[in-house]
Parts: sequence; C-alpha cells; structure tokens
Amino acid sequence: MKCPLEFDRSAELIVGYGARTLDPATAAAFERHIVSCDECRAAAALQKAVWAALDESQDLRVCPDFDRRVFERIAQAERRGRWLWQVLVPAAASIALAAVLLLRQPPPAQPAVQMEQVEHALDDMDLLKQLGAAI
Amino acid sequence: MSGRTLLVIAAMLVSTLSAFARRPPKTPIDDFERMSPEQRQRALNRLPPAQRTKLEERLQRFRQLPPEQQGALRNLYNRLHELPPNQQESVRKAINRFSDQAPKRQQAMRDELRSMGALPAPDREARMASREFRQNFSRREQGIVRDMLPLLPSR
Repeated sequence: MKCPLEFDRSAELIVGYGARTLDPATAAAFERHIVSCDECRAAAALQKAVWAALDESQDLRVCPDFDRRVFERIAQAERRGRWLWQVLVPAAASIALAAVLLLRQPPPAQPAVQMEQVEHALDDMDLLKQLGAAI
Repeated sequence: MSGRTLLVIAAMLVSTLSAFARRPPKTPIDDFERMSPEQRQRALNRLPPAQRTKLEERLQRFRQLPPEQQGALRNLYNRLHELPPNQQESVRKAINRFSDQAPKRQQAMRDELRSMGALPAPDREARMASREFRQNFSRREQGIVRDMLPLLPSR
C-alpha cells in the first residue's frame, strides 16, 4: 500500500480506520502498511484513542426531556435578565438619585446679591429696629 | 427594596429636613456676608465712593448689634417679606407713623403689640375691638397698631 499521508485523502482513510468504517480490504491493507510506517501508525493510534474515549462517554445518559429543560433554563435566564433591567436597575438608579439629592450639601454660598438689595434690607432693618423688642 | 434600605432613606430624609429647619433666617445682608472678601470688595467697588462708605458704615453697625437683636431683626425682616407687597408697604408706613409718636406713646404701643403677640389671631381682633383698647389708644395709634399686626408671629 502506498503511504496514505502522501495523497489527499489520507485523513479520510485514517479517520475511517479509527471509526472502523473502512471496507475490510482497505482496512487490511492499511493495517499492513502501519507495520512499516511510523507516521501512519502514530496517526492510527491517536484515532483509536479518540474513538475509545468516545465509546466510554456513551455511558452518559441524557434524560428524555433534556432539550426541553435546556430551553426552559435559557428562557428563565432571559426572564431574570429582563427583571434585572426592568426593575432592579431603575430601582437602584432611583435610590442612588435620592441619595445624591439628600446628601447634596448646599454649595459654598457665594450668592450674587445686588448691593441695592442689601441697602433695602438695611433700610428695613433700621425701620424694624424702632420697634425695639416689642414683637 | 428591603425594609432596611427604606429605613436608611427615611433617616437621611429626616436629617436633611431637620437641617433645613435649623437653618437661620436669611436676608440679603446674610447673602452679602457669605460672599468671599474679594467678591464683597468687587461689589462695593461698583458703587460711587460716598454710597460705598455709607453702606459699609451701615453694615458695620448691623454687625455690631448683639446676636440676639440681629436674630430678632432677621425674623421680623422675614415676616415682613412674607407679606404681599402692598401690605409690606402699609407696615412700613405704620412704623414711620409710630416713630413720629412721643416716646411714651411708642412704649404703650410696643407693650400692646407684645401682649397681642401672645394671642391667637381671633383674640387679637377681639382685643382691637375692645373698649379698653379704644380707650387706651387714639384713633391714629389704633391704626398704627392695626397696620403692624401682620408683623406679629402667628399663633
């Protein structure tokens, strides 16, 4: 047998050997070839190891409503996400806003007071002073 | 929202409101005093020199008043400015008429206003209508007292 690694369909041949899907004649020819070809032998051993691992994993049982449960959990996650954005985030934003408004200290007072207003206030103070401690 | 969060928010709200309630009454004089020295100087410098000097002297006189008198004047000022403009004007005119009276009569009106200040509004009206009041004060004095009534604190 000519070395499969030297032509284009080598991968198909080696994978088929591992999966035991080659026709018996091709499989026998490939087995004879790997006795003398280190590279093909290594590739075939690797494929066999992969298939052995896949065979072992077949013991994992999937329950009949596996798909339904997966899709249900996806939908739940989406609903949780929507609730987070529609309720929790606005609530958190409101609390943060309320906290900012409540905690906000009046800025250092530097009012733009008109001197005319100060004069009028002093006029009123002088006037009210006449009442003494009457009121 | 948990009960604990609500409690925290309520406590913050109460403390803020009480801080507002504790805030002393504010007047344009207080606004001026709260400005930085540079801002005050700039504002004063915009006035003609004579007006500036006069204003500085008046401010200095106000600053020299005892704190309790300043507080009382601030309260009166704020009560006056809570009134509608026409009523403010009639109070001002009444105070001017008051200051034209003889010192003894001024004192009698002060005493009357002080005792009326302790009464609820309907009782003040009753006192004004009483024979004693009308006997103690001339018509002019009665008018002065009546016009100054809005300055009294509400009971």
